[in-house]
Parts: sequence; C-alpha cells; structure tokens
Amino acid sequence: MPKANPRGNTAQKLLIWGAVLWFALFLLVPLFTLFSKVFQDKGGAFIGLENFRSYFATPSLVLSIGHSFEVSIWSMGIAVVLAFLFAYGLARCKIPCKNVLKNIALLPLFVPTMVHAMGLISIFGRAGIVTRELGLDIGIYGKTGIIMAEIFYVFPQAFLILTIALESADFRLYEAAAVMGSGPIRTFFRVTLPGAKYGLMNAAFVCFTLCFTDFGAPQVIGGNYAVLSTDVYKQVVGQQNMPMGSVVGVILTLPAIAAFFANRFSHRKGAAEEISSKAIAFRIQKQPLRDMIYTCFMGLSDLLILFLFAAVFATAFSYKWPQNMAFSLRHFDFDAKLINGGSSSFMYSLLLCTGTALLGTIIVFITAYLTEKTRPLAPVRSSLRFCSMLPMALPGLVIGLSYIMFFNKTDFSFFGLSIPNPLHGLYRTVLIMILSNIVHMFAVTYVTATTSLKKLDKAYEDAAESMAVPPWKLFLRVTVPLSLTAVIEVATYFFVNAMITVSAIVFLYTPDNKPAALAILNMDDNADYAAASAMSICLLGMNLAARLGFDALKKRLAIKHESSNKAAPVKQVG
Amino acid sequence: MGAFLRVENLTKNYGSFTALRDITLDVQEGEFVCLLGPSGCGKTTLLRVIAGLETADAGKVYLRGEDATHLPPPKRNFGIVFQSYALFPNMTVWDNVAFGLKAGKGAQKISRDGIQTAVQEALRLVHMEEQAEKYPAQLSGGQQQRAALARALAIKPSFLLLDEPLSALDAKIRQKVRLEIKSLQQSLGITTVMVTHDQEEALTMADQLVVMNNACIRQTGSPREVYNHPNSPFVADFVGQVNFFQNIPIENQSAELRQKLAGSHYKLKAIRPEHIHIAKTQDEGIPVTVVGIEFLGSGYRIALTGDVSGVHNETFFMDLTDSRFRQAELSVGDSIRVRFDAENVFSYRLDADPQFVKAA
Ligand SMILES: Nc1ncnc2c1ncn2[C@@H]1O[C@H](COP(=O)(O)OP(=O)(O)OP(=O)(O)O)[C@@H](O)[C@H]1O
Ligand SMILES: [Mg+2]
Repeated sequence: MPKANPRGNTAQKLLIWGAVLWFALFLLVPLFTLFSKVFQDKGGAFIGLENFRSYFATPSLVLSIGHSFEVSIWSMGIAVVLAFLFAYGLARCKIPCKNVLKNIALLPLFVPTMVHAMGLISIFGRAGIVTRELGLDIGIYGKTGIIMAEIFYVFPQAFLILTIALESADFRLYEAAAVMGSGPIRTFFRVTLPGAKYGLMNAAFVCFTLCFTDFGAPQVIGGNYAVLSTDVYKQVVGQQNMPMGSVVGVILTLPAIAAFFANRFSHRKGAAEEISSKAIAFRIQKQPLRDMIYTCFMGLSDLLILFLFAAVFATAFSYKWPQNMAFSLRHFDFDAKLINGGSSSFMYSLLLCTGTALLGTIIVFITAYLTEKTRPLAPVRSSLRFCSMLPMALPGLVIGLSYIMFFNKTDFSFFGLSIPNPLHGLYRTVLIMILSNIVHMFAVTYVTATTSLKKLDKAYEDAAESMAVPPWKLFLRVTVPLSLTAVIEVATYFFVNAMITVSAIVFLYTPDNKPAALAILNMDDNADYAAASAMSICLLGMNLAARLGFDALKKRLAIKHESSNKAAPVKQVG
Repeated sequence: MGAFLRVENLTKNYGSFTALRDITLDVQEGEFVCLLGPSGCGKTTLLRVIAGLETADAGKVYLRGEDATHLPPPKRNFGIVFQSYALFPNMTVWDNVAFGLKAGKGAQKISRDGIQTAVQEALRLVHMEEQAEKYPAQLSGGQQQRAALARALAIKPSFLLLDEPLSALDAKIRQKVRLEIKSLQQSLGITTVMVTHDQEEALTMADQLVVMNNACIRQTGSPREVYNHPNSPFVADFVGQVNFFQNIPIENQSAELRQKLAGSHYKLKAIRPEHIHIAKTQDEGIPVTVVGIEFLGSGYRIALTGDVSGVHNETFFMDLTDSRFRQAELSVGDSIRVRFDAENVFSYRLDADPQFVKAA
C-alpha cells in the first residue's frame, strides 16, 4: 500500500513503539536471556542440550514433573467441581445473605498461598491441633497438603469465573426447554452445562496454571515432595546452579504455555457461539429443597475457609500454639527478631504495592488504549495484544529468574563487541520488583482494561477528530473518566496481589529491602510459624483495608457520576 | 463553477471485500445530499471516506476543487453526527458542545467570550438552550440528537455529515426532527451529506438523491427525477413501490401504450401501483380478480391477480385514493378490469437487475 495514512497520528505511533520497547525490554529480552541460558554451562559457554541430558539423568529432578502434574490436576479437578457448585448457588439459587457468603469465600485471595499452607499445618501438622488432640495424622506434608492448600487458593478464582458464565446465560433457552417438557436433569446437561462450557474451560485453565506454577504452598507444606517450582528455587538459591534452574524453569513454563494456546484456540473457535445481546437475564425461581442444599453447601465451604483463617489467627495470638493457648501478642513484636526483618518490611511492602499499582495501572491502561482505540500500525498492535496476554502463561518464578539473568548482566557481547547493559542500574532496586510484578500481573489487568474500553462508543474518537481535538485530550477528558471503575479495579488488583506475591520477586529482593510476603517466607523457613502467622494477619489487614478503601473510592466516584445524572430533575423540583 | 465537494472513482476494499466500487459524486455548495441504499451497501463507508476517517484504496476526494484525498479529518472542517450520537456522557450538553472549541487545535485563538457566544448560538439553533446543564443520560432521544447536532455546528463547519441521524428516534419525533434539520440546513445554507436507508426521509429532505447498492451508485438526481424516472429495476423497487411484468400484452392496451411497447427489446416492464387504474369501459384494459385489500390510512392498496404478461395468475398491486375506492365499492373476489397508465410504464432490459425477473 503506497498510501500515506492521513490518520497516522505521530504521537500515537511513538507510543505504540514505546509499548513495543516496554515489552521487549521487560518481557521478551529477559525471557530470551533465560531460554538461552538453558544451552550454556555455568561459565556461559554453549553446550547444546547437555543441561537437559543431565536433568533427565537425575531421577530426583525428573520425579518433580510428575508431582507437579499430579497435584495440579487433582487441585484443578476438585476446585472446579466445588467452585461450579458454589457458583451455581450464587447465580441460580435463592440463597440468603449471598453477598456475605461470597465475600467470605473471597478471603483466600487476600493472603499469600503460603498462608493457606500454614493454616493447614496449624490444624493437621506435626504440632497441629487435630494431630495432637485427636491423635489423627493425615500426613499433611507433601501431596495431600499441597493439593488442599491449592484448592483454597484457586477456589475463589474459579467460582468468580464460573459465576459470570452462569449469570450470563440466556433465559429464553430455559423457557424453551421447559415448554418442551424437559426435566431438570436433562435441562442441566443439555442447556446449563453447554452454556457454561467456555467458563468451565477457562476456569480449568486458570486453576491448572495457578497450581502448576505456584511456589508458596509447596515450599511451606511440600516437605520432601518436590515439585517443579520448588526445584527452581532450590537450584537457583540453594545450589546457585543457574543453568539447571533455567532448565527447570523452562520445563515449568512449557505446560502453562501449551494450556495458554489451547485455551486461546478454543475460545477463538467458540467466539461465534457467544451469547447474543438479545439474551434475557436468568430469572431465579424458588425451589426450597434445592435452595436449602445449596445454602448448606455454601455455608460449609465458608466455614472451612473461616476455619483455616481461624487456625492462622490462633497460631498468631497464642503464647505457643497449641501447647499453650494463652492469649499473647509476643509474636507481633517483629523487631525483636532481628533476623527476620521487622516492621520495616511493611513499609517496604507498602512502597512496592503503591508503586506497582500506580505504575502498573498507567502502563496497562495506555497499552489497552493503544491496542483498542488507535488505528495506525495494525500488525504491531496485534502483537502488543499477544504480548499483553502472554504473561498469563508465565510463572512468576520464571519472570523473576529471567529478570536477574537479564538485569545483573553488566554488558552484552555480540560477536566480540561488548555493549554495556543500560538497565543494569535497576538491579537490586525496588523498581525491578515493581516491574516484575507488573509484568507478572499484566494479562488479568489488561483484560479488565480492554473490556472496559471496548464498551466505549468507537465514534468518540471520530467525533473528536472531526472537532480537531487531539487524541490525548480525548483520552484524559473522556476515555479515562468513563473508565474510572476499571481503573480502580486494576489498581486494586495490582495492590492486593503485589502484597501477596512471592514468586515474581523471590529472586529479586535484597536483605535490606524485604517485602512482608518474603518476610513470611523467611520466618517459615526458620520454622517460626507463629511469627509468620502474625505477619500474615497484618498483611491480610493491610490488604482488606486497601480493598475497602478502593471500593469506597469506586462507590463515591460512581455515585458522583450517577447523582450528577439524577440531580438535575430533583433540582428543578426543589 | 466546480463542485464544492467532489468524489472521483473511489474504491475501498476491506480485505477481499469491496465496500465501495468506483464511486463518483459531485456535491454543490449549499446542497442537501442523501445517500440512500439497503443495509451494507457502503453508505457509511462513503461518508467516512469523505470525512477522512477512512482511507480509500483508489480515487480522489476534492474539497472546493482542491485535492483533499490525504487531508487529515481535522483539516477538512466538517461537523459530523453519528447514529449513536457519541455524546460524551461525563459532560453536560454545554460542555459537549464547547469541547471542540476548548480542546480543538484552534482553541488558543478563541477567547472565553467567543466560546460562550458560539456555544449559545449553536444551542439556540437547535432550541436546546434550556437543556444546557443536563447530562446526555437525562435527555430524550430527540434532545440527544439535537445536542449532537449543536456540537457538530459549534465548530462552524463548512459542511455537515450525518450518518442516519434519525434512525434511533420514534416515527413521530422523526418527522418533526426531519423538518427541523431541513429548515436549519436551508437557513444556514450549509452543504450537507446525510446517510439514510429510509426512502421517505430521503425523498422529503434531499436536494440530490444518491441511490446506492452493492458498493456502487445506481442513480443520482433530484428526488422527483429518481422517483419518476428510475434508471433501473433496483432503483424503481427501492425508491417507492413498483410492480414488475414481462411482456405486457399489447392487444388490449391503448394505442399509445401499444406503440411504446411494440418491438422494444426492453422487455422488463415496471409500473407503480398508483399508475394502475380501474378501467372505465368493459373493452378497455385487462381482466383481473381482487385478492386482497389493504388499508393504508390515506388510501387503499389492492392486490390483484390476472394474466398480465402471459404468466398465469400474477399478483400485483394497485393504489386507490379513498374516494376512488368508495366509488368502486371493491371487495375480495370481485372481477374487474384495469388499465395501465402508459406514460408511467418503465422499461428495462431483462438482464439489468436479474433478481426482478420472475421465472416464467
Ligand atoms: N472495518 C471493516 N472491516 C471489514 N468490513 C467492513 C468494515 N466496515 C464496513 N465493512 C463492510 O463494508 C460494507 C459496507 O459497510 P457500511 O457500514 O458502509 O454499510 P452501510 O451502507 O452504512 O450499512 P447500514 O445501513 O447497515 O449502516 C458492509 O458489508 C460491511 O460489512
Ligand atoms: Mg451505516
């Protein structure tokens, strides 16, 4: 095409290339560095597939592959079934106090996965209450413990996805089924399940990937049961064997990437089957027996979650759990235990979370804006879209690992030419942790942002252009104000998850700059469960406070907009 | 004197799909042009190419005789109203209208008072001064439409582009707004291109009517010209009602008609329902049977069957005014004779628009 595009907005083009540079520097090149490490020995010399050969010659390492698959598939299967029932109760049954039931079930999202494992240890562990008092040892360390912890971890994520899938069903299908005399069981298998098919696949994908790549829970409760993620950590931190660590990292990434492509492919195929805009919202009918069964099920699920948190609280507030259950605050005196990094880690976490939320929200929204609302460089923009979704398949550990490999290099040599690494300065700073977090959480937040931007009329851009209004003014005056809810949601997600993530930063922190989640991991490594629990509670408190704050902000902004819409008629009356 | 706006041999493809094919069109200064055509024929695409919001693959756009093919939209100085209105929901009507003046490229040149006056003027033109402080969500459809029009006019555009501006309104308000837009356009003398797929809207509003189908222009001309002399079966059918026949038998027709039809190779005939009349005498016209009577409000549409062009029991329609209908006292099943108004029969080649040729 020889034509100059009259709409070729130079600033937009620059920004698009800027986004390309961002992904290149903070996603692709680090990943490439990691993947090329796989073919090198410790000294950096090229050795082909030698690392893989020695990996597969070590039975103890190869065993972890099977372990990872085993725990992930079990956790995924159980969590998706439970989550489907829970989501069905939320979306399709008449249940009292739905919001309370739902919010309790969301609690596990506010703490690191290590905390679920610690709760289980407080109950079923060697010194756990059940083990001691009932003399019942279920062998929590290892497979069982990991699977249980992971179920707590992924259950909320799965039921959120499935609730949306079940809520968006077209009620006309159910009316048609009823008219044709289809019974409830038949309707369930012929209408409900097929309607939730994509939600189910998506939930399964998310659960599998999260479990497969999770590091916190297996580290705490795995015992001798090694999985891929703990192997990466062991190789890199324990044995300082970077090449072998990279090999395990690559093996950890491959199934996630395969699942990622499978999921994308199935969605593309299913896109045409999406529910039409004419769909009628599902109307819940009363069915006392069914509703009672679901209420009991949901209540029980919540009770289990509360029980887990109660165990963490009890451990934190007892003098010595479970021998001496007298109330005590001594475990909260973090500064007394100098080795563990004290209250300073909270300040550090706060810095990390605020930085991640601020910078992350800006980058994600600009990227989403560029891919959704601009017109130049279409092929470049579609590769931006791909890069934005790719982190969904990348384990935090792998991102973190690729970051140390890339950023600690002082220079690169190309064919004998040595070029200094301009980004080496980031190494060992808070910024590198922030960036690692942003990339780690990019996909989810990007989806939230694009979904919100897609709802805005495409003609806004055209109208602005006809009035000679530059795009950035439209962005600031219209696009951002209309997307405020999504902006806050994205910021909340970044903040809360930066607080609880360990995997993406476990290789990047320094002893002086240790976020709270890593302090928990350290305390746990030192078998100081009480202090770790105490810190988890502080972290939970901080996260809940942040969440409530963001929610209040969202409500205020929403009400402001709404009331401005309704105020005028009232003004005329009064 | 050249045209104010000229589009020359425009072609636009989306991949392998052609949305515009070799479009040429002249718009005179102050003229109201309606682009009319069925859904998907490329009207919006043509409008967007004129606006510069879309780039054509081939062809030229001229504004006041100057090549504007690659001119970016802000430099073309037009106002546009979209079907969805695209009013910014987070701004009041006032702010919406003022947006282009405050945030537009030329903003620095306009004083605050200048903006004030310009917004007020634009709102006055569409009778929306009272609603200035409301948000779009608080307005009725018609008011939103007028606010969007005010926003388009506020920047003092040299021409106006309207993409189905009325299609989101109820039938009643639509007629009212139709008149308002037309009289506003006439009083401002502003060149306007409007897209519509409603033929009544196009016929009543346009100075020049452009009928499109399948990415091509089929006919341009005044509404009267297009209605009375459609150049193809498609246009005859799309603008107004029409009956198609092949080989109208000439024996029973008037001498005039017989002469017109004889020996012609334009074998597809078309006639509008209002040009078919009840025969005055028993030896005039052709025998038909009444098979349906439809009340139209202002008159009646009578469905008839008969052997008009050798096809057995062809169904076609005749329109009668209220008084004619009462005079004739028709009811279903009646056998009558009808005659065709010879000078209003259109003739086309059979291969012009094959979809209108009935299988014999
Ligand atoms: N961005 C695009 N990509 C691919 N095809 C497109 C695009 N925009 C329009 N088309 C196609 O071009 C054709 C013409 O579209 P256009 O919007 O101009 O139709 P229209 O005449 O305005 O129809 P309507 O009355 O339904 O608005 C349609 O078949 C449409 O599917
Ligand atoms: Mg259109």
